[in-house]
Amino acid sequence: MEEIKNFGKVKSFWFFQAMAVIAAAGLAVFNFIYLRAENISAFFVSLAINILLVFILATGAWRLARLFSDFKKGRDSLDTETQKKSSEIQEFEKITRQLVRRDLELARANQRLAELDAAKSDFISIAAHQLRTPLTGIKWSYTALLDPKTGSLNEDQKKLLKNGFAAITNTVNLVNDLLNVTHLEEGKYEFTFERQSLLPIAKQAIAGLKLVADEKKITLFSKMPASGLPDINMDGEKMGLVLANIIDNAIKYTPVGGRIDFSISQERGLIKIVVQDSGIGIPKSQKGRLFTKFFRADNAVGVQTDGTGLGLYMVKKIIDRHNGKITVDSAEGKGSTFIITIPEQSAKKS
Amino acid sequence: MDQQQLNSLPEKTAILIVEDDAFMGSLLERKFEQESFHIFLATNAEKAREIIKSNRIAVILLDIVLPGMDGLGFLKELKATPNLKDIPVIITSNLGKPEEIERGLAEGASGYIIKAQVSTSEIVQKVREVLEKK
Repeated sequence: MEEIKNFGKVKSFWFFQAMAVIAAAGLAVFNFIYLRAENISAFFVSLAINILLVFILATGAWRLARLFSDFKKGRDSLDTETQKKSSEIQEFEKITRQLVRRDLELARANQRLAELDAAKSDFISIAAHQLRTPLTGIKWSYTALLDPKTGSLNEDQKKLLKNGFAAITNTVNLVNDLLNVTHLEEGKYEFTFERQSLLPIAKQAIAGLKLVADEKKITLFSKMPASGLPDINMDGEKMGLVLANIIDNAIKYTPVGGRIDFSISQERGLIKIVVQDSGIGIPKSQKGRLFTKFFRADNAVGVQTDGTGLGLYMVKKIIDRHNGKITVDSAEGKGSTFIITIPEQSAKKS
Repeated sequence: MDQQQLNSLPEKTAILIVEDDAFMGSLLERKFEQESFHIFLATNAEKAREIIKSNRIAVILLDIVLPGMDGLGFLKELKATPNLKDIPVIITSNLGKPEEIERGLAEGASGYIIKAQVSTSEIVQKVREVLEKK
């Protein structure tokens, strides 16, 4: 009934029915004429029955016709849908194949990179190690030659040997730095984290460099809290290297008679280390590259031609490992201030 | 010198230097001889063994990286030999494998030296320190 009500809304349905009624009427007349129906009432009865039958049949036929049409429409749209989906699936499969191929390529490239990296590290390790032995031998030869016990030298010879010795010492330092950097990058350097106080480490770093500072008549002031500085989770040896490196740089790049201020304090859950010097400073344009490998600022090279440019790179790597930050405030000719902050928690899980 | 004079010469302290690099070995030998030590040189563990057998050695300078049996293996062997285990051994390394220094100390070495970071005089000094402790 619902469907017939729906059909009722369709104009063509009534048209269809009208045609059917006319046909029924025609059929009745035919009955009457050719089948000689006896009287008018029989005619009207047969007409009514015909109309009813035809009405029912017509409705049925109508439904069927509509069903077919819908069915066809449905099938057509299904066909279009299927085609659409099918081409979508093809596209999808194409992309998937591409992805799989790309993934394989990436995996292969990755493996090649890992091999290259290992080879490079191996190369540096082996080269550095193989270089160390003859270099140490050469260094010792120079020392032996400069030793008065070996024999006397004229001034010229002494000067030549001293220069040679300096050159060799720098080369040995470079090789050591290269090896250290490689080990750090590879993670071969064992970081052993322990909760400890930074104070004894700082004191030791300063004590170790005091002689060098004194030689240059540089006054090294240090300000550290006597107590109350919280312990931090850190690798003591590596942090010692960091402090020694920063202070050593301060001494290197501060002229005779200058001043260095070293302080440790606590600030909002962070341990703050500040090393300020009255040295040559860092040109603004070069500050950005200060912590990159092999970088040495132009004015630094002017003051001291030797220097590997690896120190600050290593310093930053170690501080990163402690989840800390290092920044520098400086202007050329106006000294530099290095600020290191380390969270008390610190220590990234490697 | 006649035999009598030779016999009355004070016996020099004998040091065994086990170092595979001949250049470094000769430089060390030179320095120590200058400092009135008597030096034996060995470029590998096997030769070192022979020297120890037939000479009284006061201190051994032992390189970690050696051809054949490495320094640590030799050290272990020495410390396991009853009449040799008390000879002080100083490990010399060129930082090829820093962790091996730790191991060497654990195996009973009396000290370690990183060749690239010291001068020959400092090595002599270290040997003297170790001898005094004996």
